[in-house]
Amino acid sequence: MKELLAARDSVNRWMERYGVRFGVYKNGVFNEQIFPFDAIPRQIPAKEWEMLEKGLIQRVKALNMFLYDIYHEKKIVADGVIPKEFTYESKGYMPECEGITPALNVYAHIAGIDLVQAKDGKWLILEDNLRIPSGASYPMIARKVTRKACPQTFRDNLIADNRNYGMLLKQMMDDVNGGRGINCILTPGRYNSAFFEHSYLAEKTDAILAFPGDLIVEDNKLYYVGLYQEKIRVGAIYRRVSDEYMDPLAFEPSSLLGVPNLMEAYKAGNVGVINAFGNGVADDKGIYYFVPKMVKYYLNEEPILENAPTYLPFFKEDYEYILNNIEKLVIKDVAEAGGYGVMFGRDMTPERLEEVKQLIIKEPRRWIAQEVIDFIDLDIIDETGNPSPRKCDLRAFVITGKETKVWKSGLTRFSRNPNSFVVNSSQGGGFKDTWVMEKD
Amino acid sequence: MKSILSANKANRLFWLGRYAERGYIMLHLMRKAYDEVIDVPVGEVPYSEFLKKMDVYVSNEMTTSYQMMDQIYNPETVTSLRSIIEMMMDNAIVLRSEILSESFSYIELCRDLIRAKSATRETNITELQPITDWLLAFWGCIRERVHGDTYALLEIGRLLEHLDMCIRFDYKYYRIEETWEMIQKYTRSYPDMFDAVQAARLHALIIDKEAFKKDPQDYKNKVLNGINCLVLV
Repeated sequence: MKELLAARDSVNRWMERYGVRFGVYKNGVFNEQIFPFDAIPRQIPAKEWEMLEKGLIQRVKALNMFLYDIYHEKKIVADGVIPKEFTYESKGYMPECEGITPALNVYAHIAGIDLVQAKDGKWLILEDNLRIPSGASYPMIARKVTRKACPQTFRDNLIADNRNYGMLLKQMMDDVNGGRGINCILTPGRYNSAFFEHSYLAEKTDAILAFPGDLIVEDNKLYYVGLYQEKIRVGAIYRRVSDEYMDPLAFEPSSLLGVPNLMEAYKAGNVGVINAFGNGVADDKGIYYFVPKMVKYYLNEEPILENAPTYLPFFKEDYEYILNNIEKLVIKDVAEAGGYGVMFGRDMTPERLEEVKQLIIKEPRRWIAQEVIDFIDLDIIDETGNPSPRKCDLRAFVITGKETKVWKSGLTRFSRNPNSFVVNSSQGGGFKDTWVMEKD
Repeated sequence: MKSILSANKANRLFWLGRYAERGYIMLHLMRKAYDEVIDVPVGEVPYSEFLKKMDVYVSNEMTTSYQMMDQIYNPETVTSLRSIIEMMMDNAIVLRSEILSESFSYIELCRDLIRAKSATRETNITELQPITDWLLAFWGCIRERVHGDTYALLEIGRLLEHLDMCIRFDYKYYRIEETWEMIQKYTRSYPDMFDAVQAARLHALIIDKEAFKKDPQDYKNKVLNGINCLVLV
């Protein structure tokens, strides 16, 4: 480990030369920032990982079954397990997806599941990101660099090799593609906050990085337009563009990012869309509350991984509890992501608390509340060069093609502010490598 | 070997090749100009030859030494080394999956260094030597790892820019002829990328050694024009 810590600066320099950045818009101005890397890895013992792996596979299977059900028979609503207010009124629900069955019946091909580890060692799920979760490229490239900088560390520790993420992704894309054509990654463009990731994943999966305007639909088939106007059939598109911008003829008409008629090609089963359209209904923070119930309902199994204690103001009992205990809870806007719309009751003035209460009273479906979990701190090397504890979460990546697999690594994000629980990169957080140990 | 490339990416590969070569040769010629200035007779304007050849208007309102610094660091000056490196990056950043991260990293290093040196307007030009080294490494990496149409487009850009700079800076005729011969390999192998009429005109012009001797300025102008009309991507 000493070797790794000593190499911290050189590892960060290597990351800079590879352009490992993310973009942030502040006051309308685009800035690229280095995503700070901390050399002390999160280590997950083999036994613990085994449990996490099983739990994550179970959860993602249930979520995929839920998505299929919601856009087909809707049994879970009919059986009263989930109220219809949390499905058909969700911003993420897309009526255009009704009756469409994606390739392999899979909706969430890439699921980014956010977890935290409580001080008693228990892992708790914080969020399911099933639309376009990002972040895998950072630990991928960090590992590539640290292995070279500190070979002895990796020789001495039995750490699962995480350099296979590109292969896992490619295998899944090939499964979804089914030999219909090439694989594409569609990026909104170089000024997207995650553009580094889009371009790096294209490199690592041998997929074509497509930009808006590169793709067309003809006869309900998707094509990439080549240099000589030749049309190259696309079998699977891993899109890094939100649903509503993907097809101006089906969704947001002013979108210049998408492909006109893509929805028709998708409906006809001529192209696999990764992740499928309409997944937002399952990663709504309100629906998160019901995921353990989904596990029982669809799989007839006890959930291996638990949610963080969550309250829905939609339910009368929870509503009262939230209004009476707001100062000790975290309030989250169900439609927000990236650390936005997260409010800690303990940090709010009495006036602000009252305002938030009124918001909850006005729109109970829009909010969830969670107990503040005292999750474990992991040491980082701070600005002074000394170890210093910080709050960290873990984003695990679950890939589903013909099979569901969990990438033996993940993105461990940490808060740079010692008093903050918010770890998102857009809020100034940094990241660590995640070592899944081969032995306990 | 056919690569899957959109017209936009092809265009960017071509311009990445041109800018990378422009940056490399320009820095080489700047170092030369800094050396030659020692021997410029009193009363003559230092650096004026270099600036004229780069089509920079030699202003009376500022010293040519100041203008040279502008030619290195000013991001608002489109012909400056800084602008050229920023343009390299602007093209390279969307081509990572074509040129691969290793090649990309050398452009990133050049960009970071020129930005850092711009902030202090470093006067010692030898401090910019790593840019030359990294651009050579970039081309080495490209030759090693990139193939097919992708490689051809980068190389066509590089060779055309090389020809442009040879003409501007009065390189010996054999250098022009040699570069043109290399370009012709591509006009033959990738005819769809070139305007055939322009290619024939440029060829006729370049092999006309007499025109080169008779009116070098006219010859220069015609060849520089021809270069800019040659490629279709």
